[in-house]
Amino acid sequence: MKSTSKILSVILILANTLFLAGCWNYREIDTLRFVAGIAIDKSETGDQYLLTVETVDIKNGGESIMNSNTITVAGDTLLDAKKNMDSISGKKLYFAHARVAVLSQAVAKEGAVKVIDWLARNAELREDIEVLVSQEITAKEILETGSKTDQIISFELDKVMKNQKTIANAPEKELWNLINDLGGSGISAVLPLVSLKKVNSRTLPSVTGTAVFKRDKLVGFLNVDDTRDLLFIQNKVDGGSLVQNGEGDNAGSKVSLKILDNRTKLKPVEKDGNVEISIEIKTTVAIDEIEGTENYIDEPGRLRLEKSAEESMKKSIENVIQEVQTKYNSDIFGFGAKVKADMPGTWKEIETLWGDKFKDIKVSVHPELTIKNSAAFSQPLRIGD
Amino acid sequence: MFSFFRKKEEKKLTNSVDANIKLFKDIFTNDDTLIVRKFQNKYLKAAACCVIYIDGMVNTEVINENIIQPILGGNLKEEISDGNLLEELQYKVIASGDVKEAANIHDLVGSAINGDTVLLVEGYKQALIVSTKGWQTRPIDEPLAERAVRGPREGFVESLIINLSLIRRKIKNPDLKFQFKELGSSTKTKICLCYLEGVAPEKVLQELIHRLDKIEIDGIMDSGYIQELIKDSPLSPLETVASTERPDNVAGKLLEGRIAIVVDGSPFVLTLPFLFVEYFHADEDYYNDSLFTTVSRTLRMIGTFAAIFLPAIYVSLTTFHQEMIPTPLLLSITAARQGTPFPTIVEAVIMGFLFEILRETGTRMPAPIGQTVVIVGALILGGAAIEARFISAPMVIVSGLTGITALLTVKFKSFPIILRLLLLFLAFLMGFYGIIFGLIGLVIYFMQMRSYGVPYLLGTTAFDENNIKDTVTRTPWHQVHFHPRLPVVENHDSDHRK
Repeated sequence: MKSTSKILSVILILANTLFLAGCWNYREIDTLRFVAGIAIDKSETGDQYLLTVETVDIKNGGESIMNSNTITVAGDTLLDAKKNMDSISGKKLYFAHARVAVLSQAVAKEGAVKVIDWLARNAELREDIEVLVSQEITAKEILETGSKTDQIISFELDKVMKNQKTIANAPEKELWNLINDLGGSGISAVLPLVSLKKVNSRTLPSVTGTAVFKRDKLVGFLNVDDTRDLLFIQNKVDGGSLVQNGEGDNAGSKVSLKILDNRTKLKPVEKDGNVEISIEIKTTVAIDEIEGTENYIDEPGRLRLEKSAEESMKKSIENVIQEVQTKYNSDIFGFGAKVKADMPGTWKEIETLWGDKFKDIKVSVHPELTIKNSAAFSQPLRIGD
Repeated sequence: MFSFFRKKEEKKLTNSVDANIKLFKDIFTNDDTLIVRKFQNKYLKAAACCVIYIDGMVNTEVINENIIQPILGGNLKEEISDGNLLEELQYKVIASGDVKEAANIHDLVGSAINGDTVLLVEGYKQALIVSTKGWQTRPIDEPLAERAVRGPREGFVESLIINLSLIRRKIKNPDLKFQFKELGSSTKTKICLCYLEGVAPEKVLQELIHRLDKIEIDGIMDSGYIQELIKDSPLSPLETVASTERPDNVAGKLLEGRIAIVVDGSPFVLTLPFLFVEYFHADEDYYNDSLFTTVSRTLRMIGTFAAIFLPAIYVSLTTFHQEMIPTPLLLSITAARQGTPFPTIVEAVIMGFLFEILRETGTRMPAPIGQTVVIVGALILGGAAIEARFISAPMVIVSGLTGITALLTVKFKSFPIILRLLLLFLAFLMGFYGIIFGLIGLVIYFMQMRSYGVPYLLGTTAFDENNIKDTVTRTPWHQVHFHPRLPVVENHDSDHRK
C-alpha cells in the first residue's frame, strides 16, 4: 500500500510537469514567425555579431506552402541583434522550434562560449538544438541555400545530424552536450562541420568532418576518415562502413565492410608512473561489397581480411591520435575524463598538468574485427571463360 | 375536482341512493366521464343498487359480469338471509378479489378516480369499493434509451404494478421489500421504494424517507421530478441519483444494497446512492467478459476526459505553449490558421455552441428529419466554414472530436458542457496553469461530494480490495460471490459481506 501511494505520487508529480512546462503569455499561433535555424557570424569590422535566422514562411491558401526565408541583422550582442530583428519582421520571431545553430569559423575561433551562453540562457531556445561549425567563410550562407532549394534547410540539417549515428561522418553535438564538454575536465569539445557541396546543379549543405576545439576556441579540423576514427574511440559508431584495399594480386580491388555493431573500451593503465591508455575496439562487420573475385568469405580469406582490416584500422586510429596530440594538443577523445573516472587518485595529481601531458600520453590500439556474414551472397561472383 | 381535494370535506353518505348519486354528481360537475348506473334485483326488491365509475379507467367486463350480472340476475331472495344486505352482497354475490367497505365520500371519490367502482345500496350509509381498475398500458418493450446488444430486452413501462412485477421476477426473495408512498398534493402519484432488507444500509433508507417526506409539490409527472427533489446538491451538474429503464439494472443495484424508487406513470426507475464511476458503467458490462468490459470502460473514461478537456488543451497549446507542439504539427496548424478572422478562443466557443445546437436539434427532430439536420449542419456548414476560412480546420476537428467523445457516456447531461466552457475560459486566461487550477478545483469539489453519505469518488480514490471490484475494471464473476456491497461509511456492521 505504501509503495503504491509512492508510485502514484511520483506519477502525479510527473503528470504535473507535463502541464506546468511552458510559457505563459498569450499569443495567437498565427502571429508568430517560426525560426528553424540560427547562424552566427562576425561582422566585417569584427566588433558586431551578425545574427541570421532561417524562418518558415507559411503561405495562405488552400494548400499550405512553406518557404524558407532568411533575415540577417547586426547587433552588438546577440540579444541586441535579435531585438533589431524584431523591428524588421512584422510577426514576432519564435525560437522554440529552432533545430540548428551554425557558428562561423571566426566566431568559433574567437571563443564559442561567447555565443553559446546566449543560446543556452535564452528561455525560448531548446537545449537539444544541434550546434555546427560552418566550413565556409560565413555561417549564414549555409542557411541561405534554403530559399533556393524549396526546403527548410535547418530541418534538413537536423535530420542529417540525427542520422549521424549510423553514418559516422561527423560527431553529433546537441547544445547541452556541448556545454558539458566545454565545462568538463579531461575532455575537449568537438563540433560537426558543415560545408556547401554542389550536388548535380544545386548547392546543398553537407555535414562531414569535425571541428576541433581547445578550451572553447576552434583550433583545427578533422576530415571524414579521421572523424570516423574519433567516433570509434569515443564509442559513438553504430553503423557506417570501412573500405579495405585488397592485397597482393588483388591490390586494385576493394572490399567494403558494413559496420553492424561496435563497442569501444578505453582502459587507462599506470606504467612506470606514467598513465597510458589502451583502446579496445570490438567491431562486428558484414562484407557488403567485393570488387574482383578473390574469395574473402571462406575461412582463410576471411581471417586474412579481418587481419588486414584490423591493421589498417589500428594504423589509422593511431595516426589520428598522434595528429591531434601534436598538432592540436586537445584532448577531444576524453582520455582525461576516463582517467578521472577510473583512477580518481591519479587524476588529482595530474589534473593541472593534463594540458601539457596529453601530447605525450602513450596510446595503444587493439582492434578486434569480426566478419559476421557476407550479406545476401555467400560467395564472390565468378567470372567464367 | 382538485378543489374537492383541497377542501377535504368530510361529507357522509345518506341512506338514499338517489341522494348519494346527487352527492357524487355535485362533486363531478362538468365531468361527463362519470358513469352512474342504477339497477335492482328481480327477486329481492330491497336490493336496489347503483354503480358509479369513471369511463376509461375501469375494466367494464369486470363490472358487467362480476357486479351487475350477479346482483341483477341472481335469486337474492333465496341466497341472502335477512341480515346486513351490504355484507351479504360482499360475501356471497360480488365476484371480485378486492372489495372494501367505506362510508367516507372522500375515500369513495378517490377510489372512483383510481379506477375502482363504487357500489351504493339503498338503505345503507356505507358503500362498497370494488377493484375494477383496467386501462390500456403500453406493452413491455425494449428500452429505447438504453439498448444493449447482450442482455434482457425488456424495459419498464408506465404502470407501477407492472414495473414492480418486473423487479420481483428478477429477485425472488422475501427480503425484497416494497414500500408505497403517495406524492404530489394534486396528482396523488404513487411511488414505491424497493430495497433488499439487510443489504440496503438502514441509514440511507432513513435519509431517503426523510427527504421524500419533505417534498412539497402539487404534481409529479415523471421520476425526473423526484430525482431532482432528492438529490444531494440540487444545483450541481452531477447526479447523485441514477435513473434507468432496465429491470436488470435495478435488480443488480438492489443486490449491491442500493434503493430503487419506482414512480407510477414513469418508465424510469431511480436508484441511489449513485457514485461517479457509475457514469461509466453500462448494463452490458456485466454480461460481456470482464476484459472487454475493462476496455470499454477505459474508453468511456478517456472519452469523457477528451470531451471535457480537448478544447481547453487545444486553446492553451495554440495560444500559450507553442513550444509543446511537435514542429510539423505546429506548422500545419499555423498554415490552417492563416487568414482566419477570429482568435482561437472565439472559434472554440462558436464551434462548441454550434455543436450543442446540432445535438439539440437532432434530439428533438422526428427521426426522418434528424438525418437532414446532421448532414446540413455537420457536413455543409463545417465544410463551408473551413473553405471560406471562417474557422480553422484544426478547430473543427477538435470540436468534432469533443462532440463525439461526449456521446460515449450519454448519462452525463450538463456536466461536460459546463465544465468544458469553464476550462476553456481558464485556458484562455492562463493556458495550462488555468487548466491545472480548474482540475484542482474539480478534484476538491468531487472530494467533498456525497451521495446519501457515500463518498462520490468511492472506488476511484482508495484502493480497497472490495471497492474496486466494479469500477474502471470489472473483476471476473468467479472471483465475486456477492455483488460488491455499498460501503456506507458508518454502516459496516449491518453490512453482511463475507
